[in-house]
Amino acid sequence: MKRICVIGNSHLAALKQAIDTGAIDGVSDSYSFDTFGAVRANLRDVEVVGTQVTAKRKLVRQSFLRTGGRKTIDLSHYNGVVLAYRNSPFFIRAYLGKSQPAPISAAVIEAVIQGFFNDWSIKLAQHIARAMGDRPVWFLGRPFNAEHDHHARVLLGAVRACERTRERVVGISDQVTDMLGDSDLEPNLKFHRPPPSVLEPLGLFSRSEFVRGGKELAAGIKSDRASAQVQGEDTIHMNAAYGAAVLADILGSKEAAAV
Amino acid sequence: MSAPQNPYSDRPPRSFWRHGVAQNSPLEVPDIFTPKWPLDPGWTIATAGSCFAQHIARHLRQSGARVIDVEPPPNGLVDPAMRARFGYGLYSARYGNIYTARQLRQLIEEAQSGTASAEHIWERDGRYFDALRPNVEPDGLASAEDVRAHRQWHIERVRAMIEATDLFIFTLGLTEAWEHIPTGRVYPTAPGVIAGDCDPGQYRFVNFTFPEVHADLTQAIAMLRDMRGAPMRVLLTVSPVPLTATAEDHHVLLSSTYSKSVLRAVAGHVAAQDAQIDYFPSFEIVTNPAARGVFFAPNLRSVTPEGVDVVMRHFKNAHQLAEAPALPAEDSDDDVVCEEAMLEAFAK
Repeated sequence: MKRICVIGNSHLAALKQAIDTGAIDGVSDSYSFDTFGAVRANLRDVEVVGTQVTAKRKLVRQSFLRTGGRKTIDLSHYNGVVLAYRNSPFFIRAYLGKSQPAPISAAVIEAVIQGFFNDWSIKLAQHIARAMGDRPVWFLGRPFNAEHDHHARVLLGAVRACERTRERVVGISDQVTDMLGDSDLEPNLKFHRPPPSVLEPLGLFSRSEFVRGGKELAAGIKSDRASAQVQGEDTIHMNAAYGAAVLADILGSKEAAAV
Repeated sequence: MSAPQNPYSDRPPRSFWRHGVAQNSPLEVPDIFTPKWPLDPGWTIATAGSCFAQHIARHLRQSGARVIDVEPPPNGLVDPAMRARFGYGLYSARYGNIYTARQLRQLIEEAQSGTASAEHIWERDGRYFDALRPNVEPDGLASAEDVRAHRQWHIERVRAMIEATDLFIFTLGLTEAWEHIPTGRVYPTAPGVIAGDCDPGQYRFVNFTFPEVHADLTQAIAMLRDMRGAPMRVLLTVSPVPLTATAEDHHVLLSSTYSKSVLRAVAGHVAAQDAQIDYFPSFEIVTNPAARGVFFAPNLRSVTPEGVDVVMRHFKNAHQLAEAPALPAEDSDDDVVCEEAMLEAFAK
């Protein structure tokens, strides 16, 4: 039995639900999972000492205890680690401005990616990867926004209306994938792009069917900002089916096969 | 018995060098700028010009003014230094520095035509540069076709910017330029400095005169208004930053004085002819003899941040603009509804 540690913020939920339902095609019998979560950006306060992942704040330690049964994570127990927090470097929105999709040079794409690498989320991933030695660490980030998100609809509308725009946007996405594949961070740290099965045909946004029960959830939100942003619907938190598809994709990879 | 009257007897203190300059702090020069019209907070403002204009755009944004940006940076390009390196956020479009009135006029002509110039592309070591704004992609692009595609997008965005602008702020910087002889197009940098080669059969040095700058500027403003199709006000300034170098065969100090004199005279003349065009004296505030050069950095060219602050304080006070409160840092949207998602997954 191979042991996988899954660390994340609220986006851990989809993976956790997939694990609990045993719905991960072909891999559930050969893997066991531990999950550790802390909401929002609280993982920023986590540090890696030796093989121990510890939190500086009591709030986060308590969250680890509640979600994973322990206040600290001993990485030496695991064959691999999956990280599901903060932004995915594959998500197209990072490479677009606020208006229509502009042409963007390879140098600017590299600068955006370098900005990701300088973020605390990737620094933490690097520390975990170093502590894991040659065992794999997959950085998922958070899911791409769903295709019915307001910004997604605007972009997809522009892409569908103009072949030149479609080529440009898909070209950006392809360049990002190539550049991340060539990154020279820790060799066992892999940036994992969500599998095509959970994305709409252009591969830019998550398919709406994978969003978790959004309307009921958002109806209870008091925050004006949240209400305005999701416009009555959660477009970024995914369901168990999404988690199952992503975990199956990760654990079916050649890196997983080698552990 | 009253003092004898003369034409200066009724002039206010600002009219006299002793009261207006010698006895005043250069940090606050009373009555140096009286706006022709108040700045309406609802106006959409566009900025362009030589490098000093970057400060104006930044300060106006900080004051909450609606400075348009039709080519915003990618959402993930968060480092301000990297944004500036690629020409994002410096002006209202990604045109880089526009030093001369001729350059401005030609850009507007291009935007009006809707078709980007295809021939102004420089090559260096297999990389391709837009000769009309070589600094916005300092490493160049992979192909000439890429340069054309990026420029076509840029031109379309500049047109959109003009069509939305209520107030256009332009900072005049230079009179010297390098012209592509076959087309008459002028470049912001000399061929060979960033890329390209300085073929004397292709390029020539030009130093514009008062009539030429005046013609270019008035024509540019007329085209702007025509494209806008609605009233557009213009605010002119002159960059106080001296020339880095001159291509004239004499001392750089003479060239710098010539350039600034012509630009200042044209700006004043144009503003005097049109009630909707104003002149803001950033040049005078920085070069004020009372400051004894303190607003210049040790290289005696760059304006210090303190100098910029003084300039912009005069502008904001005159237009009664307040400092806008700093906006909270924008969180990643994975913060939204996150507690609920976690609770649902881990509920026992």
